[in-house]
Amino acid sequence: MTEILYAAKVPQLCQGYLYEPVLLYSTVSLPVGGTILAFDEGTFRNNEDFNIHLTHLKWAIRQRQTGVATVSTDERQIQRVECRLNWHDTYYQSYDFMPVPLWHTQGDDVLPDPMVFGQVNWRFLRPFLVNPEAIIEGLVSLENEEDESTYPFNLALHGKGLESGENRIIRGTIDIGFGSNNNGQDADQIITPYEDLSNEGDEPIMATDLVMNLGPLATATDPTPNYRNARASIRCHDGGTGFFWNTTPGLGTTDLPPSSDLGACLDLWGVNGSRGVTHRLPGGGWVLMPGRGFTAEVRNRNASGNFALDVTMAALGFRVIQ
Amino acid sequence: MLAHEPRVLWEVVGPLASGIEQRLDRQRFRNPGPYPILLTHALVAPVGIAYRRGSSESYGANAGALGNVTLSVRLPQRYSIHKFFLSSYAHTACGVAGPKPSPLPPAAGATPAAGLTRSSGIRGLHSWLFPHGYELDMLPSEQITVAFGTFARADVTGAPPLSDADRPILDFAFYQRSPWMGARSVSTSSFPTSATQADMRPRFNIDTFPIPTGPDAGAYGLAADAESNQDPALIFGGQFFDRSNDVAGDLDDAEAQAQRNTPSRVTGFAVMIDQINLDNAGGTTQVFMPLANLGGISIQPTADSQARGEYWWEGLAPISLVTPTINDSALVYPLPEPVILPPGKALEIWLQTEGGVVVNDFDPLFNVGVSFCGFAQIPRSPA
Repeated sequence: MTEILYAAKVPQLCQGYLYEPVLLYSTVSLPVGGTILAFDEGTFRNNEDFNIHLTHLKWAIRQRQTGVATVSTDERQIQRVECRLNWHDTYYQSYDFMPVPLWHTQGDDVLPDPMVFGQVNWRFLRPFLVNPEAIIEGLVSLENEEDESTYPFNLALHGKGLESGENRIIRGTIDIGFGSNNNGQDADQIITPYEDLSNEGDEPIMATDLVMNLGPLATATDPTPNYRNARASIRCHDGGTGFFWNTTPGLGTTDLPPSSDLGACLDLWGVNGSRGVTHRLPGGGWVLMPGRGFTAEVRNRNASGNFALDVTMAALGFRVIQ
Repeated sequence: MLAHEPRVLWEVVGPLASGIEQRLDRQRFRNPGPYPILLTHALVAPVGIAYRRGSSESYGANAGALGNVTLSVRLPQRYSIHKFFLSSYAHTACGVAGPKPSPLPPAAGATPAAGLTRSSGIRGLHSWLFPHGYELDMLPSEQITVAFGTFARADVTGAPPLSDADRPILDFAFYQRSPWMGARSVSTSSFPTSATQADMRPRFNIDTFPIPTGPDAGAYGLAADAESNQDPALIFGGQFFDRSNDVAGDLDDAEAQAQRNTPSRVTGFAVMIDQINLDNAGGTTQVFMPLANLGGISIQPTADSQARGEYWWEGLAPISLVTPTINDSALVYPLPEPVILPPGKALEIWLQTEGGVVVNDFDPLFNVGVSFCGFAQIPRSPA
């Protein structure tokens, strides 16, 4: 892979390694009454041949399709979710279940009011090298729209040219909605490929920031969008491993629609800008060797009522490719 | 070798009308201890403005009034005056402090998610994470006492239309770094909402959080004995700092004992207030402030031979004034350069209210809490 050569050119930046963003995620449908449920086995396990260096954890209440009376999609209900992890036979952060907001230790993750409902940001701790002519494939889907409306969705990678040091942006915009581009997926979701996300220059780009933005309804008078409707999957062709950056083992304990693994909720991508909960792993983070991982258990504090919750969680970091 | 303990100097003033210049009590901003204090953050919050009747836009008449507050601070042994110009409440909180998911309810019509129009926030979280090198080493034999209270408002009366189910739930956590895995641990204490456990009930309840039934008079003043209400304290110690339960595998007695005897390194604390039901109970015309602007907190570790045992701050400071790291409800201003406050010296602070935005015929009134957060630098001999 040529990126290794590029990475070797900037040892002060990459130490000769290639780093690729990774997001391990899953969703669990959490009933009321304090039942303890674990995320699918394998969700937070390294099932690849590369080491995975985790730096952040994310949680959010998923806003899936409407019409399920017993399920609450109120994002404030994240305050009623408790979590604990088991990592190397040790409970983290403690044996006691802890409300998810108390895991929130990332202090710089909130965007200004006008953007907070529509945009997520992820600033990579290690830059991702995008080859010349490499194509970023972004798949976007909506899961909560049943009208004929379309929403503009923007995706951008920001970075610098490896040789020139000039600012570079790879970006694409597409209108998505239930009424258009339905590729025969489940009726509640559409999936839309980006085709113009490529490095068209002649030098590699060190991508340092990922920005995704869901715009407001084109015909709405209220310009406030809601990115919680959207999910995304990303991978890079002709560069990196070619794997999707977001990986999930599948359905498991969830009762979500069959195509629920089409993408990770946008909240989960927003390490440096979202409305979810972000936990910065202490120190340098955790390194998952191939085959190793941790388990996560969650519990619903609501004792009764229509407060079943779809809790989605992710572990974020980067693949380390030598 | 220096040990560090959190310190906060704070005061609440108000209600103030527009166009007032007031000097804050110098004694509240004097370093009362024998050690210098390294101040790192200034915080300003609309304390005690718990409730507004009217449309959600009227909320901004009080909380947003902070945007018209100017602080002037004279540091000891310096001749210059530092001015903190606080622009828009929302913008400044977002731009300077960062962590502000949605403390201000969106304007009517902007309802991307159910319930957010009257929400006091998404996470309900306030925390102070100590920077590296400023953590506290706690032995299992030591304890930290945490007490909560609220600001009773003698000028507000009325029957509260709240039920037990609407009471907020409060969680408190100390973050710790466990030495054997280099990870961070936490323990929490929750206040039950059951009325049968009144001794652990926070005072954010129907007895001390009344909803006024009279005409809306704007910002509410604080009673002279505002800090007298205090619940039984939570005591963190012993089992709290015993991390042996966190090991899922079997530990023999010696290993478990070794875990218990290992000092914990406290890296910060956090308070989460779940007031979802309270917000929802407000109906379509009542908007509540984040209760962190109303409830007080006090923290005191037990004394040991290293001259600890002092309260981290005087009295029951509003939660939003002692949590500079993650804060949904106050302006947080990281000082460009930390300020050392020598023993016995004081900050001189003037607070000026200017203009004010009149929304829905509510005159702007100011009820302002000001704090400076930092760390006492305590000489400590090597163990």
